[in-house]
Amino acid sequence: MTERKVSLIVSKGGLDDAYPALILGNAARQSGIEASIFFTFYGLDVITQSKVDHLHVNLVGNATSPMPTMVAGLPGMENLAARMMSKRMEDLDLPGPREMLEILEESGVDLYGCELAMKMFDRARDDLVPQVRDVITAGDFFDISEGAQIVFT
Amino acid sequence: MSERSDGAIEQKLEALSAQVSTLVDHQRRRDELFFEFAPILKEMMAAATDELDELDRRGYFKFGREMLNALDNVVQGYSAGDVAALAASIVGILDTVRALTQPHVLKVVAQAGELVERGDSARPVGLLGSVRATREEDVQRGIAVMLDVLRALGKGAEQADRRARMHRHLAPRSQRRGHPSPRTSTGKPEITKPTAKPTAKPATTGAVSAAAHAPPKEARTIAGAALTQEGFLADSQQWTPAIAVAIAHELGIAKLDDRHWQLVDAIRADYDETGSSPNIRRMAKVSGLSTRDIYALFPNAPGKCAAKIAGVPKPVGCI
Repeated sequence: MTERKVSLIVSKGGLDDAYPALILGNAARQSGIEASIFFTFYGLDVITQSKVDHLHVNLVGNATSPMPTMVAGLPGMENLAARMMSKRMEDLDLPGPREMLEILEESGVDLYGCELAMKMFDRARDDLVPQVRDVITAGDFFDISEGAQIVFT
Repeated sequence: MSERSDGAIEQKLEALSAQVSTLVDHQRRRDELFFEFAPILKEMMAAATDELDELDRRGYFKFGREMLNALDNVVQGYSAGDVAALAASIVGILDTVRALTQPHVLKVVAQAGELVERGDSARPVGLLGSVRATREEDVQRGIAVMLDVLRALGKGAEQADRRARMHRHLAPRSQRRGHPSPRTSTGKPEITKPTAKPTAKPATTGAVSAAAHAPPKEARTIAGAALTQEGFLADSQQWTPAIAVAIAHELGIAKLDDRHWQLVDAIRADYDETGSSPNIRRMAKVSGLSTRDIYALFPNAPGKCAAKIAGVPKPVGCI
């Protein structure tokens, strides 16, 4: 098999934004493909200790959401939707985001935080989950991704 | 010696002559039968002709001819499948007719017709007016009935749609070309192109589609056991440790050590218990190894490799 490599970029911190990238990264490793994930901007929440267990589902401005935007904007709605989705994933025996990150690290997916986003949201290395391999710049990311297919999720 | 064989030949000849005489006898009786029956048959034919003549005078044949013409039209207009479908749904049709002709249904229809006739006197209603009208009890009941009708209609349409899709799916490939499925009809002109061709060369298109269906490779076997195209054991019951070693060797794993076997045994036990192949997460759970260990043991696509070696089907799912 030819050496395949994939780099995923996560720039949003919704549950529905994080999962596809986490699952794709895992699937890549399962198929023998090298994988790395770069968390930038709001995507940084996915690898932030205090946030990873409280990711929400984006309802407002989400054309596919079954809830009318007027209702979706009410306080607590996103929380409710996130809880419902988490429940659904639990039923399907899907691991939560934190466990997914653990699985990814064990599977050999390299997780990177974005340095600029770290400064912007005033986060330190200690605020991130231990599975993060390094905090790098966008330029570093492209160096690491040499020869890889880059996917912006 | 020769006397004995002479005797045998004589016996055979006697048996033969007996058979011949039986045959002749049969033939003679048959001739007699025909001879005796001929006048009776003639008499019967004459009687039958009179009878037919009478029927013809009464117009039976003309009627029959017309019926045949009508039948011909029906046969030309409908295929055998249509008639079979009609037979299958005749009860439904009769039920519908009966339901429609019930007195109370007819009464409702008559009332509706009356209202249409008196339509001139009805005042036009706008959006607000119709909203206001929904407060009337009769209107509310009417809406409820309408909704029920719509529901039934939708359900029926969905079933019909599903049936149509199923038929299209089951139809031979050459016929399916004519009806592009919703999935393929993205509106691009080149997709509809093949529809023009198949009538020109039916033989070749048939051959091509058959070739497209044929598996690209012969099914392989390893250590006497059949493999699927992707290299998984076709029948997990056939698994032996020797097959595991052979598959591992082919995957580039020279030797299976204790931890490999620990994982393989756990996978097989889990498959026997649940009836489905474990994914990597479950492999880790049932074997006691960590995900990291599993990736180390089977460096390239561990889920698939371990499943192949353990002789279970390809694991499904993304995790």
